[in-house]
Amino acid sequence: MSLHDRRKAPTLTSPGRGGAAVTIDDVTMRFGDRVAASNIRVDVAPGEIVSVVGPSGCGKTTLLRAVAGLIAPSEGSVKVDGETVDRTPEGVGMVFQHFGLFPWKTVEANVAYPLRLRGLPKEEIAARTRELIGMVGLSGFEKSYPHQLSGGMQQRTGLARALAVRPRVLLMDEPFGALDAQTAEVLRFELLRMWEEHPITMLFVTHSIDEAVLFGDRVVVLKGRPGRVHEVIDVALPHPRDRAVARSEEFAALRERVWSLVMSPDAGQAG
Amino acid sequence: MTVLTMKAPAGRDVLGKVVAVVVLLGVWQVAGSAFLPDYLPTPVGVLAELVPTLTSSAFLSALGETVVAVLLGLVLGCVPGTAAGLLIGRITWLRQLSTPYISGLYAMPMLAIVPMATIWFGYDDTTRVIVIALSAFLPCAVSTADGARSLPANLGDVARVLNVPRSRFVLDFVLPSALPFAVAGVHIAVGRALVGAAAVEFLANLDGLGTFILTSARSFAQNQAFVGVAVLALLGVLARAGTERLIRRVAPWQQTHQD
Ligand SMILES: Nc1ncnc2c1ncn2[C@@H]1O[C@H](COP(=O)(O)OP(=O)(O)O)[C@@H](O)[C@H]1O
Ligand SMILES: [Mg+2]
Repeated sequence: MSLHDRRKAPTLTSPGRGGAAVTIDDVTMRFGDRVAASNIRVDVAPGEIVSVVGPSGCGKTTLLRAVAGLIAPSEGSVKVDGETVDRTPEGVGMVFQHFGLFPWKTVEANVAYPLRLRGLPKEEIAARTRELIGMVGLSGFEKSYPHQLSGGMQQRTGLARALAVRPRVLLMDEPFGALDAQTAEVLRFELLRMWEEHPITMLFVTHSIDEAVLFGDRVVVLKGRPGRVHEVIDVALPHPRDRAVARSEEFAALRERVWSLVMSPDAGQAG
Repeated sequence: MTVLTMKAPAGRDVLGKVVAVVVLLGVWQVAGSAFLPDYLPTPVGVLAELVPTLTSSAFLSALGETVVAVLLGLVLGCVPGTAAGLLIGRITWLRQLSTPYISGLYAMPMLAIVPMATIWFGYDDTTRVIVIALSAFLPCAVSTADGARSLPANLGDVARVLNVPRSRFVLDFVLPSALPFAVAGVHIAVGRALVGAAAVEFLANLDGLGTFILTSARSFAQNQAFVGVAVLALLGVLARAGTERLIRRVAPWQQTHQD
């Protein structure tokens, strides 16, 4: 079982980091006269997690949507494994803050949808769907509808669906932002555990400083409106990122550092 | 859009409602027989007239005429109305072009066109079906357009991230999300269709429930007229309960619908 394509990425039997390289090359995003993000450069190595943190409205979602190919950059370009993105490349999965589930489909049907779309054989779809639902801890809820589930369980479904395509890149837009604090905490460590088993490239957008440090191999701090890259912090915390890491002094020091960057007066929250 | 929560009344509410109805009927009976015995229908009188009226050939033929016209009008109005709603919801220029007319017509009471319609189409069944169809067309178009335009949160992005082809997008995203709105459109259309039917019957003197009520009332058969009114109301209540159940069935996740 792997999150990604066996041909292109390591599996359990060959540990290492899989996934694609993502290049955000001098991207500026404009909506009419309004600039949402300005001259963003970020290189994400295969299998790396890069967190993007910044105050609300600094262009995090806009940037992520550009990486997903949902909106074209006004200037600059986004490349996934060297290929310029003009629509969502094969093997890029996305997890949304508000889950984006089909309300009229069961958990099972939601997770299976990307596989059905690709016209895979029925047995393969059934087997893979069962595997994914097991992986996110939803076994027993296959026939439930999203409205019958808690927010945390809905996001587990969203995650399973994003993983169905064996993504090389996972784009996360505040995936735990709509959940209560405890549920978010549980899901964070579960996602990290899954990632440790099958490391793939991840771009993790959040406004939570803790979350950014916990997930990131690097943390990109955006500032101002329009958002610009204020600083990029290397996070040399050990893997796996579990509770022990989150309690360490190094973690606290890094969090302090990111906090002061986000809060620094020249981070320009005005406007 | 008013928000209507669809919840069954709790058991203890029922007792209160029964008591209220009994008290109301008692007051009505006493007042009716004491003050205006020949002008007001009374509960006892209505009860006595119930079976004779419901089994009379005049009533049954009137009921049949109205029900057939309403069903025919609903089909002729709701089918194209829903189709138009889908197009209006998904095609931006069509929406911009049609919105002022649709909302204008939607706000106008259909009663206003009945006198003209009788002149254009004649004092016959065609006019009745046309007015009913028009009354049904608009709510179906407006509600379905709403549903087709607004996908549930993030679903539009989901379609694009998965590179869903256009035909699959309509089939897997637009139609299922519009379905409960389409049923909600029919829900509103049913009420408007019954009003439209009764109005045309009053004004054009067509055989039907509306005329049955009018004739009965004018011949001082108040109890009989009231039976007609009650049947008309019951038709509306039953039809709306049916569409409401249908909405809950096709969209159990939706707590609200349009009215
Ligand atoms: N579709 C859009 N049209 C116009 N302005 C937009 C659009 N999407 C986002 N913006 C603007 O771009 C800025 C950044 O928004 P967003 O990327 O959502 O920020 P964040 O996710 O960091 O909170 C905001 O000022 C927002 O109003
Ligand atoms: Mg955002």
